[in-house]
Amino acid sequence: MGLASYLVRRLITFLPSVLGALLITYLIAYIIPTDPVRAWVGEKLMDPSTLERLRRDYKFDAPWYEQFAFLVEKLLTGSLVDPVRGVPVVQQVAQRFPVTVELAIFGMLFTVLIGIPLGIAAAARKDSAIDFFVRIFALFGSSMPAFVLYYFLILVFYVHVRASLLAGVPTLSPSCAAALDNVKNTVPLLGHAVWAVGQVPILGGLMCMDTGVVSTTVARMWLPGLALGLLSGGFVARIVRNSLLDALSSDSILFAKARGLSSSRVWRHALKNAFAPIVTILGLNFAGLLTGAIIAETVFNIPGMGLYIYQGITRLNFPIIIAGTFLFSIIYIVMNLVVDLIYALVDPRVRY
Amino acid sequence: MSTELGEKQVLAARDVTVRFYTYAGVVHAVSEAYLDVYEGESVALVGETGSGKSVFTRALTGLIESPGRIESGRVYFRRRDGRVVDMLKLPADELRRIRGDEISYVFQDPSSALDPLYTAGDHIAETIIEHRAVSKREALREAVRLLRDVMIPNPETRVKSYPHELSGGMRQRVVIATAIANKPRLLIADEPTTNLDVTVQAQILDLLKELGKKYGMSLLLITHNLGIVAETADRVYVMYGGRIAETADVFTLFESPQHPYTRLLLNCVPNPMRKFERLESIPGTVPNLIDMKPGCPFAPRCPHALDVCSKENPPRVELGGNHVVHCWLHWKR
Amino acid sequence: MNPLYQVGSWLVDAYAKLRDKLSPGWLERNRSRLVETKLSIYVFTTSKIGVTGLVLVIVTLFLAIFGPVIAWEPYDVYPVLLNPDLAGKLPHPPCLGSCEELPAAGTDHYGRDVLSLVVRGFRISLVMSVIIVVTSAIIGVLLGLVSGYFGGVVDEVIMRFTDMMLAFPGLVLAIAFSLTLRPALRDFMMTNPVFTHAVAYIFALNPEDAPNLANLLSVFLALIIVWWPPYTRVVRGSVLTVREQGFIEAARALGLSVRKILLRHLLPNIISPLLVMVTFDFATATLSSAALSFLGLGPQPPVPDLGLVISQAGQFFPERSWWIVVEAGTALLLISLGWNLVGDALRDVFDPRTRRSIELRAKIEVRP
Repeated sequence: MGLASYLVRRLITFLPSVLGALLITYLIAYIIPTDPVRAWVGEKLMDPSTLERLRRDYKFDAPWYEQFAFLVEKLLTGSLVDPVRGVPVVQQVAQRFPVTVELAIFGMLFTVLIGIPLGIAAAARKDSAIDFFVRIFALFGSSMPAFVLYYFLILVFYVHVRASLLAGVPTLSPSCAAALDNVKNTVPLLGHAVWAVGQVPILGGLMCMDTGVVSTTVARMWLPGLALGLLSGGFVARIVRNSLLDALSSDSILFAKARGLSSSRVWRHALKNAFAPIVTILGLNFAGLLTGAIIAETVFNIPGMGLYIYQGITRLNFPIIIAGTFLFSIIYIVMNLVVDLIYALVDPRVRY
Repeated sequence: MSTELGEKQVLAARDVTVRFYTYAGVVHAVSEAYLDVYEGESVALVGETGSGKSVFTRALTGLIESPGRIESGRVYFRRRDGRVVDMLKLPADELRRIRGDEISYVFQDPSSALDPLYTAGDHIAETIIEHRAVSKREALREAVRLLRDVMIPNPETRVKSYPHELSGGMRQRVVIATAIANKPRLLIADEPTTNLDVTVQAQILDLLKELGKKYGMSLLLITHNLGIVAETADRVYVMYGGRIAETADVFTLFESPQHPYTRLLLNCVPNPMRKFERLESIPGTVPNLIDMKPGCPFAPRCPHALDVCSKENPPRVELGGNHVVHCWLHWKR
Repeated sequence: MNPLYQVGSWLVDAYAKLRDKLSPGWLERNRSRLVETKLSIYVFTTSKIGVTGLVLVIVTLFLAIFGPVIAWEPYDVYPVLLNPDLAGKLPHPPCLGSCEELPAAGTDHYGRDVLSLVVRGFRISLVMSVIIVVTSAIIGVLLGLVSGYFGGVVDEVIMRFTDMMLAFPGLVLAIAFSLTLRPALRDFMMTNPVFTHAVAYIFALNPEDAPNLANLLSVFLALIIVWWPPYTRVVRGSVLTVREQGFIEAARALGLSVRKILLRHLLPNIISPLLVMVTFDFATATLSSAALSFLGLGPQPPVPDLGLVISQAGQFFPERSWWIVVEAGTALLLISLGWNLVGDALRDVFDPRTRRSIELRAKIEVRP
């Protein structure tokens, strides 16, 4: 009971939201009074019969709700096809999503590495120079235009100091990919999960202990990760600082000190209690990185979901739009669930 | 080493002054306060909100944080090994070892004192492990024993309960269990029953008395409830405006209080046996402790105030047999 | 007392005197409110962060209003077209003093003076961010008030809708809307020259350039559509809290009209957090509209939109256009920083704890 039923309950309430999200996106794209099929074809000269065929295939002659149902059905059965490139959408997503995940992981890593220690230091030395610095750092982080920072970092670390790669996406070595496939095929549910995780190059590389993949991935991703970390690190630090200070001024900390607990035990009490808001912010941050890294992907030339969706939208590529929206909604839902799960694990009051 | 500490004496605080440096000014929370606690006795510290009693008792083990500062004072304590130390001169680490081990605290609100993310057993075991070299398993077993001592039913199950699963009374018992876990010499209870139901109040007080006897523990009880004082205390200190106003053993204090404040305080307690028209109260409000000037803090509200009362600090007058009062009215020139 | 506070205090006093003259006794009735206002000004002016932010905001406002006037070069003239031999040297880096007719602050790849462009860019950035935030705030607040006050079906409908909007990554939605609205806006502007001229005037741009204006507006409207949900959420939350405190029931029992209740009892309670939110949003809106322009959804050259300028510089980055990124980027940074600093200081001003502690240090009075 308890945890499991809680999860199930949360899942059920979100399914209607996903459907709603799909509907809205579809309607938005539908309203655009340009001929989508023409947009897909682009400048190429096409004979009218092919255009007609495309129109019929994607049900453009049918009323909007039929078209919507058609797209959703194709989506859920995994048979949605990108008309521009003629490749199944699922395949394209499977290629590009892991890259975005990788970027998000690196971004998260730096955010946490920068934000949490700074936040703890600021809380430990309240109103000191470091506290003031954290405040200013957070303000700069939220005032700096992302693309400007990206260009600047590229200027420093790529042009002047060749410390980064700006092209290519490392992939798993064939042996590693085969090993993962093996796991997927032999072990049931867990095997699929492991395989899915392994598709993200850095994670797969770590799992296979493939130093080649790991080192090229790091060389490629550390700079955008650092950039993302600098932008949100300050904000996270402030949240950490504030929630730690709140926890430290609580009566239970006074009682802990009155019991003569060592400073490390006292801090453990404070950190555990300060956990909740920090986890929420980090979860939201991660979800944001997964769904909104368009600018980073553009500047750093990373072929992830962000660019994919962006191109899909600008070219009115309905299948991509639908698939992308679906994915993004799922991401938010899963993120919310994960955050709630972590809460439930840490805080016994939440479980009932 | 000092001879200030009698043979059967556990604690002797002298001349303790605590000030808080805030934006509003300097708050004179405690001024020249003193206290004695002997083995096996219950001492009550009485006063209104803002009288400085909580700050004073926290200052005894140096539990004051910025912007508060312990300006002066000596707090002599006889440790388990017989050594007498001045706690205010000890390094922070030593003080930390004394707290929770030889001197323990119980605070007013058990719901906020307990960490909602730790079980009852966690709290107790943590306190034990911090001060003694004991394994976690052994500590948890002791925790169960302690929970039984504080009369919590089903201690084996309750030890794994979280605070939100316990009633107010049970929570306070858990707090008491953590306090006595290491068999302290002195238990300082700051209004331990104020937040509890009246019926539970009586149980907790009885529990404290029993534990005191059983563990040979002295009890320093802070309260504003004179009924509790009458029931539980052997000796009483009355505080007002950060200063000790009067001290005596409990019978003397109730029968012949000498300080005007004590008198008025006792007057306020309605006698259920007599019919009366109005509830008594003490006119005026709590003194402003910010940037205090010399003089008796009670002078503005005192019906018998003399000129000198608002100008100079009241002198200490010994009235014999443990009875001391700080009042110009008793000053014989 | 610091001079900034004295100016503010004097203004409050002058205002009080005026009101009192118009309706005698006003000063006495509102004395405590005036003192609180003075305290707010005091707390703000003693904050280094706040004052720095205020300076930046004032500079931003000044450049936004007067930028197009003091900018020394027109934005829609491409020097490279007039003078084709420049082509090879463009974009030209900044040179302090020693480069013939070329501007000291460097040029873009069309040969235009970057600094002049940036000065013009303030107007666009500011107008966009201010109008976006103010409009969405008004929409969001109204919806939130209605939703929270009436409850029931109205509340459900509004909240479901708001939640759905909130569930989307804002940037993606804004891109989608911007594209959707563009053709319609284009048509509309072609057929409504008065409207086009008005828009052009506000943004200090060429009214003939209707398609670009339409692009600009599409970004603008798209952001408004995406921006209002958080306000609705926050306001509705405040309304529900206030409801629980019983003000509303009491006011209803006294027979006050709905409008009066909403405006005179609810609004003052939520004004402070709203003000802080709006200020921070000015910064975010500046960056978001710049981001959309950067991605190419906003106006196209020659419009001096800061985001556009930076994205155009991207192709020549880094050796041949770093100064463009630096100049335009710093402008964006300073605009946002100004608002963020002010917002941060305002948050402190409205935080009861910091207010009280500072109040006790100063003595604030209102002289009659």
